[in-house]
Amino acid sequence: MSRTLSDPVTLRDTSAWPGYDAIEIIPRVYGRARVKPLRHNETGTAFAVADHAVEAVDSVTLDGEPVAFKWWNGSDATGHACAFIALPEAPDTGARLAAEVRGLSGNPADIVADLYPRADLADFAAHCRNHGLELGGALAERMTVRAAVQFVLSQVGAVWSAGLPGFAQPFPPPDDGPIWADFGPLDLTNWSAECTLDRLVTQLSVSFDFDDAEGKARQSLTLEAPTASKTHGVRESELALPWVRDARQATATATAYLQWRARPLWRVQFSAGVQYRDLQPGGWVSIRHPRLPLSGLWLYVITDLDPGIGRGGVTVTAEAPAGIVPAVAIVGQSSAFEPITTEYSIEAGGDTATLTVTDEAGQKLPGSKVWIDGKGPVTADAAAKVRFQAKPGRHVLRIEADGRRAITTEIQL
Amino acid sequence: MIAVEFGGDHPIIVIGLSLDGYHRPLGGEVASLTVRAAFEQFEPGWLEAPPLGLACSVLFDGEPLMDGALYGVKASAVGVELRIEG
Repeated sequence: MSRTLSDPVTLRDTSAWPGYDAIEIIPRVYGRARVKPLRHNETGTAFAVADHAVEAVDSVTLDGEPVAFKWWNGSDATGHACAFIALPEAPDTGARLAAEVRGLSGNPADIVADLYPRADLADFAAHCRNHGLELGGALAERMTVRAAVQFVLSQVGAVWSAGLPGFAQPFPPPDDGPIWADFGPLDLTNWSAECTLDRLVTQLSVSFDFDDAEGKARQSLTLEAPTASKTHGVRESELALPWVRDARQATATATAYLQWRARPLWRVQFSAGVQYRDLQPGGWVSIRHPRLPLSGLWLYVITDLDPGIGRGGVTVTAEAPAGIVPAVAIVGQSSAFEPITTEYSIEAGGDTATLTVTDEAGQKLPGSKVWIDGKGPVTADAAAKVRFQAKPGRHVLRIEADGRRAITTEIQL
Repeated sequence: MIAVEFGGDHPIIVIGLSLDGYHRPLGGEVASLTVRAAFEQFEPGWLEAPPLGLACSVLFDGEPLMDGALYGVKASAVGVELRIEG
């Protein structure tokens, strides 16, 4: 049975395995992505990184530090193909484990074809290849096929429609693209055109290069169309491109967005004859009427078309921005801080164990609070040390230092 | 007489035919009104790329009714509507 756009994307979770740490979705990984490995064995040394075979696992980090690992494509306990990594020893509970994975093809057309198999994406795949459009990310959230396709194509500023020849295309269409129809004054009935301030954007904050393991964007850009800000006031908006990995691609997508949206955007709706019933959304059309604010040389893009079956006329919705294409400049660029980590060392001798709390550079963190097996807190002294009775066996430590993420870990004495 | 006075680099005064939907709600919500005007009131260049967001004043018989900004423009074969928010 074929998949429909309203079906959920098929994603498995860790409850498919005989044992799990927590029920989490096993991700589908496209392109290059940094993912959180999911524990896959009792001893805590093997982890799944993707719910399919991958091209490679390039690196693994534990609390930000590279660690030795091996990776392989294999099958899980249910016989399903997965990609795995193994570490020499089990990391502490609460340690931040991340793997840099090269997964399935990052070409947006290939991702769409994986989510919604179809044979007419060749043109869009070629467009993405020719323009160097690559995405990287992990799909680990339940959603419909429609939402997933929309998410993927929005990452490269493309539009899609089930009725569009080729299914997906860049937006706006290429300047030299064909004009699908020419509507003259006698073709239009009941027309109206509207533009509003809420659709105008002159400054855009773009977050991109999402770290799926840490759950945050690693880079951001701010772009502005200065002449539009001067004319209309600064109108801010945000554009999330989590699967875009590099600034060049993020800038190109955001620039195209801003060049379209930093101008009054006329949306025209009208009725026309049944001879236009075969038109599809996504193409250029010419609309001419002496009282239409944008008319003649201006081209519109069809954004919706109701063929009006049984009504004897089609309803067309199209849009076009007014004025010349504005210049766009990068006015800000930023990257996320590296994660702050808290380290510790333990010396055990006789009946007493001594814990020393430091930052990632080895600087001592006096005043840190430490819980041992849930008891505490004990405040670290001026030398950042906490002493406690060294009972043999496994113990759970929780350490909180000012301004740092609390860590919970297991130790063996 | 209804008039909408726009300032900016190219000040113009639009004479309206009618005024609708004048809302001045409680609770800090935006006040708004719509002025309907004849197509001939506008220069083609102004209507082609209207200065959305530009400050303006709406007057009725010379008395100030509302200060606001141009929020939207709607054109059809019968005329032009300016939506002002204040």
